[in-house]
Parts: sequence; structure tokens; C-alpha cells
Amino acid sequence: MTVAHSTGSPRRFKLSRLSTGSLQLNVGLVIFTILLLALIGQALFMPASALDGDLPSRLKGPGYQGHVFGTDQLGRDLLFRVLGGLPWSLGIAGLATLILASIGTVLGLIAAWYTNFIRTIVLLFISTVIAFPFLVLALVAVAIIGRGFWPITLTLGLIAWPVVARVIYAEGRGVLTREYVLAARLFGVSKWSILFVHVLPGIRPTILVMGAFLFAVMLILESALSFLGLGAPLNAPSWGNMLSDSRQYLVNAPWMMLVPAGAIVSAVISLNLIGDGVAEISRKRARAVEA
Amino acid sequence: MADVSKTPNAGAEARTLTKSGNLLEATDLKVTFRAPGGRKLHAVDTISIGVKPRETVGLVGESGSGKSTVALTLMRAHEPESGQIIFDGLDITHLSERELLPIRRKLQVVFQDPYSSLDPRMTVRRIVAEPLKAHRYGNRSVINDRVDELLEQVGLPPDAAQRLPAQFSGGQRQRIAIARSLALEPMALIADEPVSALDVSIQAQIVNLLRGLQDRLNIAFLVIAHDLALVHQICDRIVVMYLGEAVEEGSADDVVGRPQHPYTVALLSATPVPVVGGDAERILLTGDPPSPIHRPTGCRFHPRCPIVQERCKTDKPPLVEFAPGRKVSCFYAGQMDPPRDLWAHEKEPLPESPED
Amino acid sequence: MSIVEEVAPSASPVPETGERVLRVNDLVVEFPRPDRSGFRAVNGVDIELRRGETLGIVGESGSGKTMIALSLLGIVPLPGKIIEGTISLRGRRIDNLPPREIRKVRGNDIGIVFQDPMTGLNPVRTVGSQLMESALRHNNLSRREAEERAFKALDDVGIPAARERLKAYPHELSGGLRQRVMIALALINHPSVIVADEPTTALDATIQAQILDLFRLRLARSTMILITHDLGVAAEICDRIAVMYAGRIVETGTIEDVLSNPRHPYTVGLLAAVPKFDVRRPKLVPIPGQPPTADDVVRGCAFSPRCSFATPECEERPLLEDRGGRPVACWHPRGSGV
Repeated sequence: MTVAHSTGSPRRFKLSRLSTGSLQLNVGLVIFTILLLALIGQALFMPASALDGDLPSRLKGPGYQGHVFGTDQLGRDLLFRVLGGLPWSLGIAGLATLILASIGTVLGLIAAWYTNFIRTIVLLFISTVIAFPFLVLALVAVAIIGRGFWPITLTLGLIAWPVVARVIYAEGRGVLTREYVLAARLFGVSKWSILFVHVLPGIRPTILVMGAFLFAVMLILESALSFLGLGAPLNAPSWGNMLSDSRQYLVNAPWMMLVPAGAIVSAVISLNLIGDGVAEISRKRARAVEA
Repeated sequence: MADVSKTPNAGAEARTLTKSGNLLEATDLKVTFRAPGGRKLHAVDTISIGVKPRETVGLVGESGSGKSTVALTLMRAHEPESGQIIFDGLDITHLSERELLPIRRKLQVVFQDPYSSLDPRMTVRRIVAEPLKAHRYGNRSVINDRVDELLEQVGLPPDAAQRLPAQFSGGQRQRIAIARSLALEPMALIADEPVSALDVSIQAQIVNLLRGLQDRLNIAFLVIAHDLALVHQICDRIVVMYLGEAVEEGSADDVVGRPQHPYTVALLSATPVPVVGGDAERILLTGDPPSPIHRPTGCRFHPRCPIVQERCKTDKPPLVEFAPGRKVSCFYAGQMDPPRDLWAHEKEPLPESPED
Repeated sequence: MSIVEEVAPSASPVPETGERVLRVNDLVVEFPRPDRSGFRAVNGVDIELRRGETLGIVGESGSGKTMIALSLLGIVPLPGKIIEGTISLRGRRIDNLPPREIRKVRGNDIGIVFQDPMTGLNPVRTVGSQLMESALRHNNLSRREAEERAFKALDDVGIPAARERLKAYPHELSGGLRQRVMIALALINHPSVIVADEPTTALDATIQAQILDLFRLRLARSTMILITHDLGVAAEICDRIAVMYAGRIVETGTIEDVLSNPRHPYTVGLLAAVPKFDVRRPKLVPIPGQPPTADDVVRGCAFSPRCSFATPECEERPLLEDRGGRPVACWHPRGSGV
């Protein structure tokens, strides 16, 4: 494929922009892809026994007897634990982001589309949820369903969508009040067609950028919940749990803190780079397109 | 309904006209909006307007006169508070969006700003094809052929279809918008300030393009504009609006050449022309147009009127038809002299255009 | 070459004796283009302005007329840059001044009127405080004197109840009043030159007429550069005009001469494209094609691709020279020479 040369069609033009456009995006994507591959790799190849403890070799530093990242207070290998934490961290954060982005986009667009009482109700609902304290909801969820993968995912997904809804509402209204949308309506273009042809492409960059940033926020929140004991089950290899464990050994075995912290930081940085990169590219493209 | 006659039209579909021979007719149209604070904003106050097939009617006024609201209400983008809109023999005032679909095919619109009326992310082909697809014009290749044909009609190069609007100048973008509006061969076209965003040398291109297309396609035009010289140039009849109401109506030459309402006279006098000394005796209006929320009593124009009398402050002059097709709403109509002599050069031959 | 010196003294009613206030010499404003030589938005323009005269710079969008105004004010938007030429105000070069100095020139020696008064006025401060600030910044005045001057400035531009309006915020005023405030702000320090960029374009016809009247009657003797696209507006308030096309002046002369006897085919075309109040309705004659954009390579006369009189000769660029009485940049000038 000669993507770089075929500037004639706008579709190809965009692709070539994407592949070369932003250094941040490229770096972010590379780190994130490595994390994703690790996630798949550990699911396929890592035996469950890899997470078992070995008390004699507890609290050993990196490099001890093949433990690349060292071991924790129960002698568990930190490399395997941090890999085993990927589904808990990336998985939960990713699914939560998907849930909140969908709910936020749908409700935001509904509020933007209707000018009557439906808008009022949706906006009121958004404000109510925003006002609800996040930790209280998390406590209630854990109290009712218990700790585990799905309780955290749903708690995170259901609590954070109003931010998306607010932004999509504003953006959607911006697009809907453009003259080309009015023109389409007066030409007899159907509502669904207007939605998919004009509105969604118009807010797509916003959704992507917000999605990347909120993914990172969800990752941190998941760790925070686990750290507080409201997240993953106690022995699950969640990065938040690992951090929580490391507190008592901060002086003797600082690697217990550094390993999960490093994992969280690299994931968050990669997502922020992706978000910044997408924002930069869409800004550039908007300038070229709306000149 | 008011279905009376069918005009036999070579090639085109038959048009159903009202009793007065109008293809598009609005009777006693009234549009109000709710202003902040719950007050009523009287955007359009009982206007009647009619456009015959192949006719060009100009709706003239300043910003806030409600002229664009009339256009959008005729297109059913705003709901009228009262009044009736008849198009092609059908009362469309209260039709649902679904029932309007066949009407939208026959009644199209061109907007003022070709920058905001085209989706910047879509190629020209997709833009022009949008109404065709909405009305299931045909399969992909039929639509593609039609788009190519339209682009040629409006004078755009064939390779324009693949490009984005950003790659075109304002005048070319307006051509794209016109191609889109003509895609379904409408019977009537409402053009809201179609050339006021364009440079003078390009304005003339678009005006001539619209005229040529009208001759070829038998389209009825309703042109909304603020520039009286331009409206006189392209329109058969003119309706002058002030603060949501029609103050004067008549044939283009008559309204511009023998204006009756003081506002029309002032508007004519205010239009700058590229002639030195052409502005010798300008009639200046004091103050600004009042807001459509707090309208003056009596004649809406009286606070700015150069010939205002006591009576105008309390009584509202009705829109009176003083000659066939000629209406004015002023107690003292015709008491101001027209600012320029439209017939000054009537006897002289037309100047040769520089191209000949 | 400058505009005025080439006009035959007998052909011009403009007072030749007036002191030369502003001189722009061979101005070039360039914008860099990726992997090519820069785009010259203004390409070698000479302007000379004498005390008490109004010069209209007329052109369509992209002709470079606004860029001239911005150059005079020292606010050419980045990445554009003045790469050649000089601008002198009363004998002092102002194109190479440091930002601090040029700021003093703006608002004191040069008054500015923009198209949209909202870009020139601060929306969160009262009209009076903005006028007073400008008066205080450039003069040694007491607050009371400054307020008096602000009132006087508003009164001078025909604002009714000027005393009360001092306390008004820009959004509380109508478009016409706002533009009057903008003009008052431009005039408050009695500048040597006023630069007005499309001062009436955003206004309704009846309000435009009021502002044009203000220019004609109260500002008739001020020294002014009016940037406009509207030959009708230029006809009302200018003594001389310079017609611009693609970054260059193509024709200059007194307003009477240019309008009644246009020499450059572009000027001829512009006049033919304007609708006139005439019952015969002469067909509007558009100028075919489009003006060159920033991406086009211009060779020879920039207007020749749209010109019906173009010959192979036009591949060489005609200079703005006296051709039968007036400076015209065309090998085949229309109309009649003196």
C-alpha cells in the first residue's frame, strides 16, 4: 500500500497523517501495545502456579534466583504478580471506560438533540449523579455485591459517565446548531442520518480524547479502590493491592512499591500520550478542514 | 384546498397554484419566540407573501426585521404561531416531518454562509449527494452521475467531487451549495442572502448562475437580502420588511423607483453607490431599529420616521393595496421624494459590457 | 515610486501642499509556506498620505488590504513578517520599533477603527473607563481631565446622552453606537493618522449611513486610511483611492478619476459587477475565475488569467507607472489617458 503517496483521496490522507502525525501518539501507542500484548500473553501462557508464594524466598530484591523484579512478603514473584494484575487493572479500567463512554455519549447526545423537557430531565439526572459522592457509592456496591471484578467495573463505569455526558452535550449542541445540520434537515435528511453522518463524526475526536484520559483516570481509581480495600479481593494480584501490601515494607523492600507503581505510571503515561496525540492530530486536521 | 389550475410545464412536473396564482404562499404568518425572562419576541407579525412559478420575489430588510425568520418558517424550520403556508397546492403549515418529506424535495434552500452550510468533513461528492440519498434518487452510480452533472451545471471542475470544502474559495463553495440545492430539481428555492458573504466580482458570477438556472429549470425564487440594489437587479417583486412587518410591496422597479414608505426611501438613500456625489441629499434615520421585544406603539417605524405626525404614535397604519399588486402601510405614503431617478438612463442604450 | 508624486498636479484636487504624514515604501509582508518560497500577502506597496486627506485602499478578500493596515499598526499576525520596505510616520520609521515603542505609537499617533467594535472594546469594562485609560496612558492628565476628555470624545462622534453612556458596557450599546465608541477611542488622543478597517461593513444599511455621515462631516479633514471592499463606501469618504489586487496596488488616483475613468481592467470589472439602480438593469458582468490564493504561483500580471485584454506581453509584470496621467499597473489600460 502506498499510503503516503495517495493524497488524492481524503481517506488515505487521514491514514497517512495518523501514522506519522504525532510523536506522542506513536510513543503512547507503542507502550500501550506492549501492555496489551503482555495482557494477552499472561492469559495464554502464564500458569496459575506462577502466582504461588514461596515463603523461604520472601522479600528478596530484584534478580534473586531468577525473580527479575524480586519477591513480596509471601515470596511471590513480583513480575508474575504485576503481569497477573493486568486484567484487574487494564481490564477493569478498559471495561469501565467503555461503559461510561457509551452511557455518557448516549445521554449527552439525547440532551443535545431534544430541546424540550427531555433535555431538562437528562441534564437534571446528570447533575444528580455528579453530586453523588463516589466513595459512598463504591462502599455501597462492595457492601451489596462484595469485592471482585464486576463490582469495581460497574461502580467505576456507572459513576464517572456524567463528565462524558456533559462534554458530549456541549459538543453535540455545537455541531447540531451548525448551519449544515439545519441544511440537511431542510433537505429532508432523516434524523438517524444526521446523527451518523454529521453529528457522530463531529464529536468523534472528543470521544477518543476523553476516552484515553478517562481510561487513565479509571486505572488510578481502580488502584485507589483496591488500595483502600474496596476493590479487588485481598489475594488478587491487582496493582492497588500490591501497593497496599507494600506499605509495611517500604523501607526493607522498596521494590514491592516500585514495581506496581511503575506499572501504573507507564500505563497512565501511555494513555495520556495517546490522548494528547489524538487531540493534537484532530486540532491539526480541524485547522486544515475548516480553514 | 386552494387547488385551481395546473400549469403545463415543458419537461417539469406540473405545479399546483393557489387562486392568486402563487406556487408558494403564506397568509397572515406570525412567528413569536420566547425571549429570556418569559417575554415575547415578535419576530414576524402577520406577513403575507406569495411567489409565482418562475418569479423572483425579494424580501428586504435590515437585521432584526424578521426576513430570515420568514424564510425558515416557510421551510418549516420554525413553527408559526398562526397563519397558513401553502406550497404546490398543499397546506404545509402543520404537516409532520414525515409528511413534509415530499415537500422538501420540491422546496429547497440556499444559505448565506457557504463556510458553515457545508460539513467540513465531507467530500463535495457526499455533500451534493446528501439530498439525493435522502430522497432515494437512485443507486450509487445514478447518484454519482447526477452529482457530476450538477457540478458541471454550476461551473465546477469535474475533479471537485473528490475534494473537501476547505479546498475551495467562498464563491466556489456557494456553487457547491447551489448544486446541492438543485440536486432534486426543486420547484422553488429560498435563498437567504445568497451572495452577501462573497466578494463583488464573485457575487455577479453567482447572481448570473442563479438567473441562468432559473431560466433553464423554471424555478420560483424567494430571495432574502439586505442590499436593495442587488434585489432590484434580480427580483420581479419586492417586499420591504421592518420589525417583523411588511411596510411596502410591489414590482421591483416601482418599489425602488417610486418608493412610498419613508423607510423604503431611507433604505434606498442609505445604499452607497460607487458614484462620486451620489449621496448628496441623504435621508438619515436617527437611532437604531427598536427591539422586537419592546415594539413601539402605533406605526412601528414612527420613532425613526423623518415625516412622523402625532397620529403615527398611536394609530397603526394598515397595509393598504393602493394599486394592483402595490401595497404600503403609511398614513403619509408618497410624501417623500425618491432618492434617485431610476429612469435616468432609460432612453440611453445599455452600456457595452467590457467583455464584448 | 510613490502615489502622489506621480499624479500630475493639475489633475488632482488634493492639496499637494499638505505635509506628508505617512509614507510606506516598498512594503512586503511575507508568510512562510512549507517547502516553498514564502507567500507575499503584500508585495511591494508604496503609500503616501498627506495631512487632511483620506486614502481608500480598496480590494477584495485576500488582496492584502487588511495586511497593510496591520503592518501600519505593527500587528502583522505570526508567522507573517514584514521582510522588506519601510513605514515612516512624520519622518520617523515605525516598522522596526521594539514592541514597547510601537504600542505607544498605536492609540496615540495612530488611531484604529476595526470592522467589529467588539474586538476593539473590552466587554467587561465600561466605555468611559476604556476611553479614560487611553487618554491617561498617553497624556499627562488628571482623572477629572481624562473623564472630561472621554465625554468630549463621545459627544464629538454624535453619541446622544454621552455623559450617561460613559458608564455603559459595550454590550449595552447597539451596533451603531458601539462603532461610534470605537471611533471615539481612535480619536481621543488626536492621532496623526486614523486607520479604519472596514468600519461600516458589519452594520445595517441605515446605521452604515449614519457612520458614513459621521466620517464625511466630522472627520472630513482628518488624515485617514480607509480599508474597504466597497467602492460605494470609498466614494463617499475618500479623496484618493488605491485599488489592490493580489498584494499589489494596480491603480491609484483621485476618487473621481478612478470611478469615472477606471484604467485597470480589474477596476473596470469591479465597477461592472456592482448592481446599479437603473431601470434598464444592465446585466451584471462578473469577473471570470477566482483571485489567486496563497497556494498559487503568480507570474507576470496577477490579474491576467482573469483579464479579457491579456496578451503574451502580460507575462511580464507591468509596474505601477504613470500611463496617460495616472499610475496604472497594466500594459493595456482601458479608458482614456489625459
